[in-house]
Amino acid sequence: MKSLNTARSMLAGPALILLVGALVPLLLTSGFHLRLVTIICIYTILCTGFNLLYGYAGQISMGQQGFFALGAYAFTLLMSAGNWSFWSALPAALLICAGVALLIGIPLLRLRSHYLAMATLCFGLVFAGIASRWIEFTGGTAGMMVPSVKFSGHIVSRTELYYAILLIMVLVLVMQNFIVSTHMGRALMSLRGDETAAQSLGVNVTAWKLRIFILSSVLAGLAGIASAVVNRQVNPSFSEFPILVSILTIAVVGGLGTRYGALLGACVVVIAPQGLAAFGESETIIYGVCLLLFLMFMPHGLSGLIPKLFGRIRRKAASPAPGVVKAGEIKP
Amino acid sequence: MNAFKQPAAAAGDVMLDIKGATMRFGGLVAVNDVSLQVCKGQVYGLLGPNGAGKSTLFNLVTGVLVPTAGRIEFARQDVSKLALHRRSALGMARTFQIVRVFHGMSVLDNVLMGFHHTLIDGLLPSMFMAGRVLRRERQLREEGMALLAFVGLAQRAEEMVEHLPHGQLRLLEIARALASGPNLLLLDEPAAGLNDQETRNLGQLLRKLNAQGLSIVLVEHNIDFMMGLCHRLAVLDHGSKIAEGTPQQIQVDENVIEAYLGRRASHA
Repeated sequence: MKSLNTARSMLAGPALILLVGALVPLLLTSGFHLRLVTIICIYTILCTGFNLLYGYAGQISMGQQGFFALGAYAFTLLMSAGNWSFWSALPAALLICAGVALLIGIPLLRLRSHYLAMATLCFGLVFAGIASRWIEFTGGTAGMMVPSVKFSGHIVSRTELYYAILLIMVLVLVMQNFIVSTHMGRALMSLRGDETAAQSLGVNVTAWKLRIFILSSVLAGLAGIASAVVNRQVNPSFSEFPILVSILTIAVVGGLGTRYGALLGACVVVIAPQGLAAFGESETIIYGVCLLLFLMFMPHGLSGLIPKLFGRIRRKAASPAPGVVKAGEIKP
Repeated sequence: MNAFKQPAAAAGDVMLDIKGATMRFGGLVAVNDVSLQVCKGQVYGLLGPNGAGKSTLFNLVTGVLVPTAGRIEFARQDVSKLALHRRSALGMARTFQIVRVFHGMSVLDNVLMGFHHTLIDGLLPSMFMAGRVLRRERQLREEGMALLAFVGLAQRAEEMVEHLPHGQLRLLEIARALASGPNLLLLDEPAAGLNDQETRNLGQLLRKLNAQGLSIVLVEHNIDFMMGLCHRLAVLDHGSKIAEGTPQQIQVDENVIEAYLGRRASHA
């Protein structure tokens, strides 16, 4: 029964998200809104990887935007310069991300906390430097055009692209839920706690750190590819600070170490600036103050708020208002 | 070096064999040429005053430290340099002097960590065998609950580990160690910080485990606790083994009395 429960808790959330996500294009009228929802999906994929790495395993990486850009550039170069097909360029680009993560992960993951953060940040900076300066290969600051995705002569439309990315995001969430609700999740959480205790229980700490670093880099690369296809171009801004700031903001707003924090955070980070645009020049200030308030009063982000709300509703149900009691008494 | 697998060992077989273990930290000799043997089915105690080298010897056996000289054999395998994470699969499980549980996880999940070495290692293999992982997960929960019931923590299974008092965390650590299916249980000062009632309960629990055939090595300060529990004791002082024998022998041993009551008094 418990395994059924585990399976249900793994699939119920993503199924609901898929349902709502599938209905969204029917409710939206403008292409711009569809684009925003697509970006939410992309950010969710990116931040799910970051959440597994930092929220669950406690290993901070400030270089996720580097892998985001690496995936995008590798995919674009293979498609345009290498003339590869979509179906070979996609896995190849992901493999490149995994390979690079493996190479830099072996030395870097010996470092802890802020040292690891600094070292991974360097990777992001180095990648941004290469992308903007190696002009003949990457197109420099102007970047490169991404050929539009075609399947047997049919050019994929914006809506179809959204559905594809939505499906990928839902699959990523299912995978995340599977990882965190089994022994894999426990192994990851043991890394963030006590490495000696984890090792003496048979957890190969080095291997698990490397595995989750590679997985989060591949997810960042996947998000980067999706972003390249949606934007029809790649440029060095993919690996620059705004992306990193978005990742961290989503993590803080959504809640680290929670299953749907990435999605909740992505919704806020993508939609909030649209609402704030009306404030004109003071937009950035208001946005910043809101973030500070989040940090101060909601350390567990939006995900921390949901159980609290449920708790309040349940408490109200347990000790109902006098009027409700009367109504209940009449019934029997 | 003879790593051949022994069939189920008969009583009296050596399980843990420490041969001349020495540990130096710079100029300090923390453990000096200590040899001892723990047989299958024994409860073996390591006694000694503070700073005698008990914990260092314990860390050599559990693999946190690598001995400067000497050999440590477990189940007839040299484990002196074996990586820490490979030891639980051999049938060695431990608890810590200062309780080390995983925060942010439930009590049951902490116990389930003990099963880790029996499960599929790695992300990709686990994903390819998702069905098997989920079925095994259900069995694990039942086995974990049984272990929690055994140490008397079943009703706290779903609580966060942060909410447990110290005495229950000690029991949780033992349940987690048992989850790994050990042949030898190594306990580092298990009675530290427990009150009299809790200490008595712990003694009963360990006796019950030993009656089921589990070998136990204990490091402890509490002499009364050790005398009633151990089949055999070794006493360390200044890094060297000064006495070994049954509790009766140890109680009347001149060297032991000297080490505990003070050297100068007896030399004067």
